[in-house]
Amino acid sequence: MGGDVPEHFSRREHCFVQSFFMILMFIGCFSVSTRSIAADLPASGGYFVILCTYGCSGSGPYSTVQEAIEGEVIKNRGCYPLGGPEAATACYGPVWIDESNSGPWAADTTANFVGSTGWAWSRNVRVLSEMRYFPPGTPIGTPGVGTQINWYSGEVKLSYQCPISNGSYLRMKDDPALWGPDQARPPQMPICTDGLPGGPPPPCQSNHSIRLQGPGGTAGALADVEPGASVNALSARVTCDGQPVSGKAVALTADVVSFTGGHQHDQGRRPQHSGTVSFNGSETTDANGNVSFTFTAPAPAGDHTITAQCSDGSCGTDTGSVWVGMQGLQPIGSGPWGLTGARPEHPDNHYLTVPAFLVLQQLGLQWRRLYVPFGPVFRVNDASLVRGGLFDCCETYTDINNVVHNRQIEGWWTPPHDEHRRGTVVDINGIRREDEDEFVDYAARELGAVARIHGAGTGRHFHVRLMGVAE
Amino acid sequence: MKTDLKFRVMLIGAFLCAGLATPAVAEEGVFLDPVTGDYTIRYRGYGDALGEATFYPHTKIDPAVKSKIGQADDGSIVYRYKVKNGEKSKQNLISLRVTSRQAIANSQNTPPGWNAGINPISSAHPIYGDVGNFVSWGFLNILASREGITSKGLAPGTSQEFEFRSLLVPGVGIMSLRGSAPVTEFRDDGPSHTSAVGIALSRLEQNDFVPRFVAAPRIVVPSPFDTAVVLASIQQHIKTDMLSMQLVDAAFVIQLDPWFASAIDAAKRNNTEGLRHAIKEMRQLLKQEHADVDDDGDWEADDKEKKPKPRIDKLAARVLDFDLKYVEKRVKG
Repeated sequence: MGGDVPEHFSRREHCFVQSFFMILMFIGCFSVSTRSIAADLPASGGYFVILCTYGCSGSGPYSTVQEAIEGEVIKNRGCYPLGGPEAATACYGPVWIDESNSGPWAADTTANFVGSTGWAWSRNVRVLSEMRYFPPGTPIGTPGVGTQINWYSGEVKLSYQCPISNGSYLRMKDDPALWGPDQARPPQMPICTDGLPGGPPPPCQSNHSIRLQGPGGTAGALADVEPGASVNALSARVTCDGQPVSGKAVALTADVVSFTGGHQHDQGRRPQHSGTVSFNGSETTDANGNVSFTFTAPAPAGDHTITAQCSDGSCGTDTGSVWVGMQGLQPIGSGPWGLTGARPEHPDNHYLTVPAFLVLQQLGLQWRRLYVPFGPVFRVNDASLVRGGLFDCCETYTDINNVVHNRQIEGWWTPPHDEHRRGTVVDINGIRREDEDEFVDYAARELGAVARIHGAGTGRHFHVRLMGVAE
Repeated sequence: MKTDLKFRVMLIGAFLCAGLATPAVAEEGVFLDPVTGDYTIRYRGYGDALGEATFYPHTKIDPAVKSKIGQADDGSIVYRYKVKNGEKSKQNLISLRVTSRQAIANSQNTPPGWNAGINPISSAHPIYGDVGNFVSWGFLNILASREGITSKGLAPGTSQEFEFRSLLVPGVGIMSLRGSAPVTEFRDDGPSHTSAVGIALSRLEQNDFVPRFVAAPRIVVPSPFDTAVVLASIQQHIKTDMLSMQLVDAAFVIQLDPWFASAIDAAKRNNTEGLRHAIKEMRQLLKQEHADVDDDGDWEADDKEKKPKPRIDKLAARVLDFDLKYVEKRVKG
């Protein structure tokens, strides 16, 4: 995960290492620079700015984020004084954090801590914390006292605070001259002039954000959709300080979470079997800041994700989930039958709709009453997976020409089974040969089901469409 | 009911579809053997392998079914059927089924070797979701062997009576009958259900029975009894089901309509005399078409086609006459 952290490090170890280095940095760098800042602290009227933090939680004056999760934009904000929490009185409010100005930095840019040991910050720690002091009237962006500002990496989020009173607006203007050639900066980085209370807020330029929206679904998902089907009531909304932003181009990507939807195998799963996203119309936001799109689910069930961001990278990202599967499938459970066919790659292979289950139950009861008074009346093999969808049984299978296929070699995510997708089809073994024609007739006559034989040899079984249709 | 007639149309469509999708020399397709009556299913299976199987239809029978309707002492309606497997049938007849929104439990007779069942069908069933119940009989070897019966089902030329009871008044329904046939086997999972071959095969499987018109429970009787509602239901059954089954001419329906309107109006106004008069007129119209319409006691009654062709089928006329008599009887109380 971490670019400069050995791959075998666990997340906890990773965090520990980062924290350790942060402490080293503090000792090696801020032992010099921080003191110079502290020495220049005014008696009053100065403010600290804390740039957005990002990374694991840790000790030291840089971290204000608790429970930080790698890969997420942290919305937490806080204020640590120079010198640590014990000097809290040196931290003045309000501290205003702008998380929206994701800059043009490449995701894998390695940040150097200028003026210190030159240790490369982990490239996955994309937003750094910084404490800076600005005397009243200091243009934001000017290298502060004893600090450097070019130690970002990845999508650094910068924030700026003018030395103004609490609740006032900022008046800003851009001053490219304040940025050195080797110090990447976001476009139109504002600077602050003196705090000027009152007046209208400036046009929102920096605090953009994007949020995905949908009709709602299982476990907080944007939507639920059946395998192979589409949901078109999805949208992404871009706002700036809560106001809709029109004309923003939006980019969407879809992915799928491994080992979900009843599939405990992952070979060849991603990205081939993620869903697809397509705009319903324009890919730029309308007057309400919205752009609508459609998610089309693949044949297998699973937990899918959609990530939205502005094409210019100015509004961060938002990720939502889409629950792909059949609702209402129930485990077959115990009955007059025996259950069989569960395999490591598909351990939950006995799910049906309630009406289909009732048909199966009727079959079982009939066979108990007339044919098999004791013991399992038959063996229930594959029905549907826990959320239906493509049931790509089995690791090995034999075709009509007796050719044995091995999915470990040929790949998963194809039939068999061709059916078994919606909780209405089940395979049944163990019907006596002399009763097979009566089984077929009973299923059709009394239940409206259709049964036929599939497979040969030990794989010979009844394939039963409990609701009379193939699905 | 998602009419059984639709199934027959679909079955024909399936044949046509299969034929269209599969030229005579094509690798894949559903091919009828005109000699055996079986179908060869040729399809592409997994790994694009060419597979083949035989579908043995349960329809190589030519059954005749006669219906009798009566009223039991408890007021329920008794539905009796005499099922004869035709002399030219190639299969023994092994099962029959009618649908009914309501059927009285344990009211079925069980001839030796036959198993009877009334099974509720889920409203979620995509084909039969609105039928209510399957009322069926099936011949089982295991029961037959206990009775010392060696034949399997109704052999060609033989007949058997079946009956059950319902609280519903009769209309015309469809009985599904099946002959004895081997099970269809695929060495793999068969054709994909989304392929042309798979779709054609599914239609064959879903329509794998021979249909016959019978008297069957169709008209719901509200409690307390409401003459106008029952008459309106009978009229609706004629105008929709019987008409679509081509059991009655539209002209005859039009001729009945004013009398139904008159009867319903009289019932709403408690005008018993007016109601009886309207019913009498309707029964007279039926008798003009079939003189023996009210003769329900003889299985061997002549059902041969008459010339000129009556404007209403005899079964439909008998059912309608029974219904009108039922209403009249209820009005008398």
